[in-house]
Order: sequence, then structure tokens, then C-alpha cells
Amino acid sequence: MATQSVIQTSNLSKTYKAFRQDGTLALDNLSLNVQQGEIFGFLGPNGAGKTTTIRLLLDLIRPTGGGASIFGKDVREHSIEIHRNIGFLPGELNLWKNRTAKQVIEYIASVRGNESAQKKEAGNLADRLKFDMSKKVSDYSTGNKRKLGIILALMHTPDLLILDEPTSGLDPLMQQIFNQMMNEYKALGRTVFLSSHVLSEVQTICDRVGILRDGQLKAVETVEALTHVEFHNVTVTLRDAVPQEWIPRIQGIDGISDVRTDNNKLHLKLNGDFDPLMRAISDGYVKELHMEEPTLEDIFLAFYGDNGQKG
Amino acid sequence: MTGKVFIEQLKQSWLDIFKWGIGLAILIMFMGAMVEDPATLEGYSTLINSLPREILSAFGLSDAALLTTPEGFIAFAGFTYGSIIMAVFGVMSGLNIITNDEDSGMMNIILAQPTPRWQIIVERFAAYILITAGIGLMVFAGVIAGELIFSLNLDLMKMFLGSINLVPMTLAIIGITTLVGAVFSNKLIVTGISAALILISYVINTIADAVDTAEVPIMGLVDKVSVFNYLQSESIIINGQMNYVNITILLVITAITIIMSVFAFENRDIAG
Repeated sequence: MATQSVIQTSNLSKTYKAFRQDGTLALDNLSLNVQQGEIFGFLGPNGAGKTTTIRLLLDLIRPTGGGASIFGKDVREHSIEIHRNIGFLPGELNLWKNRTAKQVIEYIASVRGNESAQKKEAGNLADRLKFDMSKKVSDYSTGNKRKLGIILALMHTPDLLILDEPTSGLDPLMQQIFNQMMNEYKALGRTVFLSSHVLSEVQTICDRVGILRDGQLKAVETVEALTHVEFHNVTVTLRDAVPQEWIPRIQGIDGISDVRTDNNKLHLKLNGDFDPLMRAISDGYVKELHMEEPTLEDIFLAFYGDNGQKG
Repeated sequence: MTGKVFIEQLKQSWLDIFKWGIGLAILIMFMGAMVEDPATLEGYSTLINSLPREILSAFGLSDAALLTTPEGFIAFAGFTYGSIIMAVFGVMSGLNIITNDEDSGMMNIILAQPTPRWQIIVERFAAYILITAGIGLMVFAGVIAGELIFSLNLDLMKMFLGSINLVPMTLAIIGITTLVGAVFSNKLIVTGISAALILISYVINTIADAVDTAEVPIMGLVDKVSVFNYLQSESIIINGQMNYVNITILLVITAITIIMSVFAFENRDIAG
């Protein structure tokens, strides 16, 4: 089956203009292609331009340059037609506080049409997410509001889901259910475009990942390629000060970089197995070993260096 | 889906008819209690008569004799204060059409649905036409209640026209606030500008009423920009009929502001 382009942007740009100020370039010539049936992750630190891209795709804001199309139709000219077949979850979900979840669902379903099918699907989704629809929006926790947002986005079974930081606020169990739902969605040939600043989130479910930085798309990689460069930030805490003779020994190990010491703490980046490092420090007394997932910035630098050029 | 936004707005705001309507009805009934005793009314009229003409005009009263009748007193006191309350209602309702949902972020969800921007404005405004008319009727209900409780023997037709007369002015204020909200996305700015416009409009009308426009013709012209200039509840009580030219002017202002709102809102970014 030939894949079709579901989202296509061409030199899409957005500059926010403030009164008596130079504009802020939020998105710079974004050219992107998301294929039908894939889960595409849009990865970037806060302020990179992810939400701006999503808002441009939804015609909530207007581009200052370039253009975008969804299902082959211009997002501005055919926004209403496109919106019929899109499920959207904003990063920050704000709904009418004095209405119950059921009332909000009914309203959104009525606006889209085919209400009964949507309400039925909303009920199924609520059961799956263990969500009680009878409460007022103001009474829900952040996680429950997120669940309501997911129900609103999915209940009309759209061909394209646009999700802004979808799992923020969800507990691990619900994240797992969400991931499962996305994979089921994909299996039906539907497309998911999700933004995130959490690497592990996109690694788990995405097929391809676009890396955005300072409003510019730096790369589009498969998740395998991204995983390949994965490393960890490691901190070893010793009982005594770090022996200086260890440094060249550790620096010589393949896959270890950025070695720093801070009295009894040894910081380094490790890409590969732990064993060579453990052997190298075996003559010391290790009190604690702490491992952190790399930040997006770390990944970016590892991938492209400081100047943004792929190494 | 046409009509859904309208119905949703009614569902969310129908209680306003009672909240605002009962408040205004109580105000009118309170005025009724004041005019219950003809001696009080006579004394009040004598007091008012002793005031300079400019002061009377500043309060929107051209003839103190008007206050000697219950209808005149209610028209002067009730409908004048009522117009100020309805102006506040107008600004708050105007904020509900675009600004409040945009400020809360709900507008992102609404516009991500297959709902055109014009539909949000037009259908929500249509809902407010009904709500505002409902409040007008509640005001009249207050008059009837006052009539029954205090046996006032009012001319109910004049009172009905006076109550309904508040509606076009309120709709114009909703329209103006909607337009400001369609142009600016910041709630503080929208509220500030709308409130300032209404306040300035009221002050202009008060000053214009206080001065002799034959001596200061410019005030007569400036007064034309004030929505309060077209209210004239007092003339309904004197003439027993509405000023249809003024009503038409207010409705035209309303229509223009709503059309301009649609155009402005269609062409701007939604706040994130």
C-alpha cells in the first residue's frame, strides 16, 4: 500500500509581532512531511516552536511565511473540512469549569455531528481510561483533565490525531494504556502527530521523530537512529575524593565522554555498557551510582554538535 | 453544525436572565415602594424642582414635573439606574462571546472543531439577544410586581415600552465589547477599553444633557456618539411611544459592530 502524505508543510514560518518591538521568530521555514499510518513525534525543548507548529496546522494562528496542508488541503482555506477529521489535544487543556465532562463531551459531539456514535465511543474510552464523566470540570485533577482531553480528541475516531504533550500529567499505568491506544490507532492506518519534550515518550511509540530547536527543524530521524546515540549521564559518588589517576583511565574507555570531578563525585556521559567503567573504578569505594536519561539538548549536541551540523 | 453554538450559549447563560432580571426587577420594585406614598413623591418633586436646570439635565431629567407621576419616577430613577446596570451586563456578556474563552484557552478547543469563527460570534450574539430580551421582560415583571404589591396604578404599556427600551442599548454595548474582543486578545485590554468606552459614553451623555446645546453646539454633536443618548426612557413616559429612530440607530450600531467583529476575528491569531 502506497503511503500518502497526511501533513505537509512548506517553509512554514511564524513571527510573533509585539507592539513597538521586533518580532520573535517562533518557527523558521519548517518543511515537514508526515505519512499516513505513522506516529510522528515532534521533539524539542520548551519554546522550540512545537506548539506554534500545531497551532498553525489547526489554523488557530496564521503563518507569516510558507504554508501547510493536511489531507492534501490547505489548512487555512479548508480548515472546517480538515477539522472534521482531526482529533486535537492541547498542551494545556482548559474547559468550561462549571460544566460536567459529560456536558462538554455532548457539546463537542453535537458540533461535530453523528452524536450518538461519538457518545458511545466516549463511553468506551472513559471505561478504558477509568474516567468518571459525571463530575464538573473544575473538580478534576490534572491527570483526569488529560483523560477528558484524550476522550474529546479520540471519540470521533479521526484519521489524524494532533496531540500536544499528550501524556503530561498521566500516571505510568495510564501512559501505558495511552501508548496502547496509539498503537491500535496506527494499526488502523490512522496517523498521529504528537509533540513532546520527553525523549522516552517518543521513543516508546513513535516511528519517526522530528527534532526542533529554536524554531528550526534540525532533523527527522527514525526512532532507531535516535536510540543509537542514546547515552546516559552518570554520577558516581565515592566515599573519598575521586583519585586524579582515575581520570585518564576513565577517559580512555570507549563510549565515555565529558568526564568531570567534583570532590567525591565523578560525572560522565556513558554510551555503551557499564562494565568497563565499573572495572576502572573497582579500587574505590562507591557509595552511590546515579544514572539520568539524557536531556534533549544532550541528544541534540551528541547528534549535531553545537553548531547544529550533523557530525 | 449550525445552531449548536447558539444552544450551548443559551445553556450556559440562561440563568443570567434571572440573575440580572431579578436584580433589576427588585430595583424597579424598590422604586415602586418609594412612589407608593403620593406625599413622598410630591416632596421629592419639590426638592428636585429647586435644583438648577443644569443639574436636572445632568441626571437626565428635562422636566421635574415628570417625577410627580409614578411612571415618571420609575422611568427616571429605575430605568436610568437600570441602564447603567444593563451597560455592565452588556460588557460582561460581550466578554463571553470571544474574550473569556480565549483567555481561558477554551477557544483553542472550540476552533479545533469544524466550527467557523463567524459562527462563534453570530450564534453567541443571537443567544444574547434572547437573554437580553428576557432580562427586559423580567424588568417589566418587576414593574407588574411593584404595581400589585404597592397598588400603584401605573400605565403598564408605558412601563412595558420602557423596560423593552433597555434592550437595544444593551445589545449595542454587547456589540461594542465583542468588537474590542475581536480586535484584541488580551482580556485585561478588552475589559479596560470596553469599560472605558461605556464610561466615556455615559459621561458625554451626562455633560451633553447638562449644557445648553444651542450655546455649545459641539456637545450636541459629541452626544451623538454616546449610546446612552439613544436610550431616552423619559420620552417614552411622556409620549407613550418608543423612539424608533433611536432604536434603529442602536440596532445599526449593533449590526455594524458584530459584522466588524466577524471580520476582525477571522483575520487574527488566537491567543495561546
